[in-house]
Amino acid sequence: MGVVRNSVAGLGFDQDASMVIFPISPFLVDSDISPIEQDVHKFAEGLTDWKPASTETGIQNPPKVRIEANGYEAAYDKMNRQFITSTWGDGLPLNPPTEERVSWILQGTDRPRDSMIGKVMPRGGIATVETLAVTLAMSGGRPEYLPVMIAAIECILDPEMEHDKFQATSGSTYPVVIVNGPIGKDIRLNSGFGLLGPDPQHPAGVAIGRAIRLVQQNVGGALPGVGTMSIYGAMRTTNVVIAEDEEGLPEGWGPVGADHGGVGSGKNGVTVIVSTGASNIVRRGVGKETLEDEALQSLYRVAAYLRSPSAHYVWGHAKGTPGALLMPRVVAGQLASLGWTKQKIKQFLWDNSKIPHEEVVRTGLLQWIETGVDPATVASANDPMWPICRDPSQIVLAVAGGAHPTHNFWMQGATPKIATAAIDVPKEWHGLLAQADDDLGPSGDMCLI
Amino acid sequence: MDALEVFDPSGATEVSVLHAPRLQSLNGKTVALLSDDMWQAHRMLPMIREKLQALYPDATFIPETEFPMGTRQMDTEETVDMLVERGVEAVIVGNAS
Repeated sequence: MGVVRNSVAGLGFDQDASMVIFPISPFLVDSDISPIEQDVHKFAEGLTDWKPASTETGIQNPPKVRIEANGYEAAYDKMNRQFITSTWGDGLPLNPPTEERVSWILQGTDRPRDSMIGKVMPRGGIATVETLAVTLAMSGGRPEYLPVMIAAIECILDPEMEHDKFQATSGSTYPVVIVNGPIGKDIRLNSGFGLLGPDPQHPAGVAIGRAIRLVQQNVGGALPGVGTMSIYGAMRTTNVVIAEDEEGLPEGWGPVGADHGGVGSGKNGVTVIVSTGASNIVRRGVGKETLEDEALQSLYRVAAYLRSPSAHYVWGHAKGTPGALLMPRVVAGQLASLGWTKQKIKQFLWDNSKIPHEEVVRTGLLQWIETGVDPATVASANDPMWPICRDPSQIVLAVAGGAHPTHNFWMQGATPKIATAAIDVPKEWHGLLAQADDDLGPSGDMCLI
Repeated sequence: MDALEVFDPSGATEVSVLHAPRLQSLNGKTVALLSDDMWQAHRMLPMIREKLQALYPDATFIPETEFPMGTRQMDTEETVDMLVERGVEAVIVGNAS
């Protein structure tokens, strides 16, 4: 119901639609559909008697919310309770998005605050620079995070990303934002140990990712069970916002953004995909193998994780990605020393993750491939060995994670495009970074082995 | 008494188009069914069409199989053109879940 209301709002209608609503049971395989038959007259009524709530067009700006209480702390608590009851929160404490705090965040861009980024589907709420600053203010963000936030949202709203679908799907989709360029270190994004989780040494990723999630929910309407049917909603509290470990790139390996049409080495940019799952892969051997054997075995092991009869692969088959593989610098360095280039690794993973036709049929993947939009994807349905994407270059390979050899991390894709965007910083950038040093103490890597 | 004035974080919304006016009756009208081919639509929509046809014998109900089916396939300008060309006056779309 919420999904449909959001969807029509996203198309520019009032946030309501003529619907005939049933519980989930009739929609399941081999279901009893007699409840539909009993209510068939309601379909006719929807075409003749239903009345929309809105009879006028135009933009509606919500007014500011006034919270009154006895003392600041009481007002702060009351605001947090009110934001929860208004379904604007995520269960964790929020900073009040006051004019003062939002104006502070807006120092992170030279763009006007009313500059429109786009409509966030399925609800179709309008995301402006100010909207993003409001959300970043709530999530614990800082002004120097805003440029990454803007670039990430621009990528998410790229029409070819079909964000209206990943927002509403039953899958556990979440945006993955990989940052290249000096801005990663400048704003304390994590590229090393624990980069997917909270880290007080690198607080930026959590705050930006949480703000993106709040935009998805509040502006885009992706409220669990109402606007998004994501059954599990995994990895969504903070999404994934990380930096590539560019200092750990072996010689001859370019940054991940450059691999996918984004900015080149030394420039600030984001690469965004949508993922629906996360797998830690123990890739190291027990230590008695040769380096060559360990490398080969580990790549076969990684390929086995990729070789999955996933219907999500169909979505990204033509132009998107089957997912992003995170590889720590130690592993990348070992592989590079043996002559493995990025291209060679991707080719190996692509070759060894193909799915035999018999398995494509047995698992029902065949029908999913046949639902594909791209003719080439549909035509691939009967390939003797079905590749998880059309070309090896579509696999995203980023050097990231703690400097340790044991694990890789695979985030399976559900994304029709790999989006990239340059990151624009404001003229007063260095002043913002100096202020961050004053506020947070000097930044730097504290633990490398 | 202290007060905090904060932004509503849901942002602005825009109503750019209004829902189509409802029909007086389905009698004599042409109604199309569109399918995303999901959630048992292949069973439900034919049944709905058959039952509505019985309730409104003077109406024409065009089956979903005569239009592109699938979430993305039906969501195109080509589908709209086909509806207009067939003189469709109302549409039933299914299934969402």
